[in-house]
Amino acid sequence: MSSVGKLALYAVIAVVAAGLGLLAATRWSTPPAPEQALMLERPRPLPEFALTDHTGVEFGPARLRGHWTFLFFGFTHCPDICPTTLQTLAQARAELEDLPAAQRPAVVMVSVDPGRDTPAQLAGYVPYFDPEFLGVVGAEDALRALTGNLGVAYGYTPDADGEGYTVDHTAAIFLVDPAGRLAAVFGTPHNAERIAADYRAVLAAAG
Amino acid sequence: MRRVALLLAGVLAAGGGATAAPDGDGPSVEDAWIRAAPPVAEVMAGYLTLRAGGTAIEVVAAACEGFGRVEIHESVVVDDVATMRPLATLPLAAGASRRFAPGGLHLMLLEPARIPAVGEDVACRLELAAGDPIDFTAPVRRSVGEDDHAHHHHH
Repeated sequence: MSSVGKLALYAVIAVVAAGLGLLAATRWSTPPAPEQALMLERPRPLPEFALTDHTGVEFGPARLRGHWTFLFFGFTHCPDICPTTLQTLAQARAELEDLPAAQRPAVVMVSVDPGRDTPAQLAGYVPYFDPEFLGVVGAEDALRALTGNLGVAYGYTPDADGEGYTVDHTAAIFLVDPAGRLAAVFGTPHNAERIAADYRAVLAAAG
Repeated sequence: MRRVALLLAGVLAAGGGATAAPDGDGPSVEDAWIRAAPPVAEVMAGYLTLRAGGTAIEVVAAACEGFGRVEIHESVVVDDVATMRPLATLPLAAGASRRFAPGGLHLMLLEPARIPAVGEDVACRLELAAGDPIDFTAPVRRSVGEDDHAHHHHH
């Protein structure tokens, strides 16, 4: 082998070794990245908003501080996506039972159907999936303050018979950190085990 | 299955209903269940696997005991935005099957006389454009494979 050939071979070996070292370092020293959830590089503060929870108490940004919170937007006249998501979040929370209470996430469903979802309706609906879940609703403009900031879309489509309507809405789940900032977005489709694993990854990354 | 058929004959009283039969050449419904909902719910969703059997079928209507109206709907999630659209009919080619599952095709159960509880069985029927309707029962469950150990398939 020529000296140039030997040099090239050593260079290749060095690069491979460095690559393996980097791989090992990534494997063993940094927490795994979320599989599906999209983490914000810098958590983003939420705006002021004034909604009402299902017990009739005001629900604003202060209620999101001191604990992690999964925010989901839906409505109770929803047969498929909303109850499925609430059930999935109940399962995800059960998967996280081993965490200290302070690290377990709260779950809040924000209704985007203030015309039909009163606090009383939400009180009968949301805690059914987990007694600790909270339903939240407010007037259209109060709702817009939060949904506009998060990029949550919703709109009303009349039924074919013209008697009722259904609500199209963003089905992503938003994770708010204990400082009340948006930390991660969990896109669809939702899966309880993956949500739980990704939540742990976000916690680990947040230190 | 015979017990179910007899029960349905009494409940639906429409006569001529074909039982959900996984074997045989006729159309069938398998693994049906209804997502549990709280008593204040106004709607529920039913899920199942529909098989056409040896000949093509077209589902033109659906009914479930205790509900004023049952429609076939499909949830479509595009760019994380969920929308729902009703299907007028559901055609299925011979030998084909369609799965009604959370986040997709589902029976939308409207106008409940009351909301059935977890563990209750709801008698349902799919009407076809031609031939006997398909009768089946759907247990109410929290989620697929749960609260119904008799039908729990774990491998």
